[in-house]
Amino acid sequence: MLGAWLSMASEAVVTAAETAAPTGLVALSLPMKGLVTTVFGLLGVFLVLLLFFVSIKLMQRIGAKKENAHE
Amino acid sequence: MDVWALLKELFSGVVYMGTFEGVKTLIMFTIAGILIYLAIKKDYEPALLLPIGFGAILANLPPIIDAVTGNPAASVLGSEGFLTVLFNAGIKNELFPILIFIAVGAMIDFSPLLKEPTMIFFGAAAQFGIFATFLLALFLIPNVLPDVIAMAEGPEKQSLVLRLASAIGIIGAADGPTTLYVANHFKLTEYMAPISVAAYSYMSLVPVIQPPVIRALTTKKERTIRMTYTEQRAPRVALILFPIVVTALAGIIVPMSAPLVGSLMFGNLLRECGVLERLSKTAQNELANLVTILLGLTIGSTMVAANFLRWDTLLILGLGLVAFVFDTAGGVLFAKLINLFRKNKINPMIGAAGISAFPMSARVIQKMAKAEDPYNFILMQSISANVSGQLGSIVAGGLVITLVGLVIGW
Repeated sequence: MLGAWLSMASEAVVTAAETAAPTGLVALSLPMKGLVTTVFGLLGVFLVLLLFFVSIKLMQRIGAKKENAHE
Repeated sequence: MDVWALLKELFSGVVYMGTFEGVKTLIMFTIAGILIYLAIKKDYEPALLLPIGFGAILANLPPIIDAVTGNPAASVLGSEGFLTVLFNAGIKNELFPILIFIAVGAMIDFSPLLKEPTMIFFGAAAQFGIFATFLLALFLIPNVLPDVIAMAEGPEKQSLVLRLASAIGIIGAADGPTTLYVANHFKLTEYMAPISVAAYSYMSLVPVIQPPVIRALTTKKERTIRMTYTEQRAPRVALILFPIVVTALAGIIVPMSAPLVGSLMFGNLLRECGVLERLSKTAQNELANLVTILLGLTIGSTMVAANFLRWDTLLILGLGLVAFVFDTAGGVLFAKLINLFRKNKINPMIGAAGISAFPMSARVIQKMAKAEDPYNFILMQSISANVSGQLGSIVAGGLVITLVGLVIGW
């Protein structure tokens, strides 16, 4: 019962995300489309590179631990 | 028998040069000559500019009637011409940019970045120019090129403006393969010539474009800031994990960047794994050289007079330059902003190396630093920012494709 409800709910969310969001964006004016692309684009680049930064920090720790273990 | 008609047919190329189209051909020959001159005499990215220039000459030779289509085209560009074959095999399906990235990945040493990961943010800040120019292009294209936009119908008008603006903005990334990737994805075949020529020629003009922008935004005191660096290499395990983790992260978050990030990181893994030295050397040398020759010639072949000698070419070249300047400025200003909060100041010139032109931009920054203070050595920090710029530009390209695709409903 709960499983069926969960799968229905997730399906509804996916459908809503697939239809409502893109059609909403398509209806925007040209300057708004430009602003959306610019804001999310710049934020996205910083976010992805922030993730790379965090992963490098983790790799540094792994590398340091391995080197200490060798010594 | 009409001897005159026979001679006209026999020397149709000579006759063609006397027509208006022939004058256009001569203009294209001059442009190609300038590119070849810059390559040979000024040593500006000769590996790219020379094949591009020569490809442009080939593409603008007097046309013959194509046996298959019946349309006039230069013999190298007919339906079975070798440059058409190369274009379909390597540019249209995005193969050459991918192969170039494998080679570039094998050449890049991410060790300086792994030791100073804070430099990665310059790779993000220096993408500012892409988006600033994108906005500027959105405003300019409908106003400066109303005829071009008028040719599209209904919602396709907005779509064309957005697609063209995004490809122009990406020129600022100083990353030829990514620029080609974006332009190709948005089916801008008609604009491929000016876009790729702008991307590759500005990339080779980094030593000319960046220094005045950096000098305008920094004081002498800022340019002489020294930074410490230790020679020790990053741990091997980190160097091996880095390409794998970055590919997975980029592929999950920005799937459109996966082909470029994946090929760049595959090349880098070949280099860092330590067991495939032969393949790594092949990627760095033979693969890089072969694809550069083919890519350059093919890009040059898109510079057909009919597609190149137009007002939109001037707009694309102009905005491409603006994008480059904005990117440089974005990186420098971001470094200055960070310095407000840091005890150990960063030389703000390093921010300018956050563009993707690797390793030229890093070298330019080191040269400028040395000119101000002969004992200032900031090459490694500049390289960290520069390789970050490589990653940043690919991610930006993937995001632009995704976001513009969403807003135009592709």
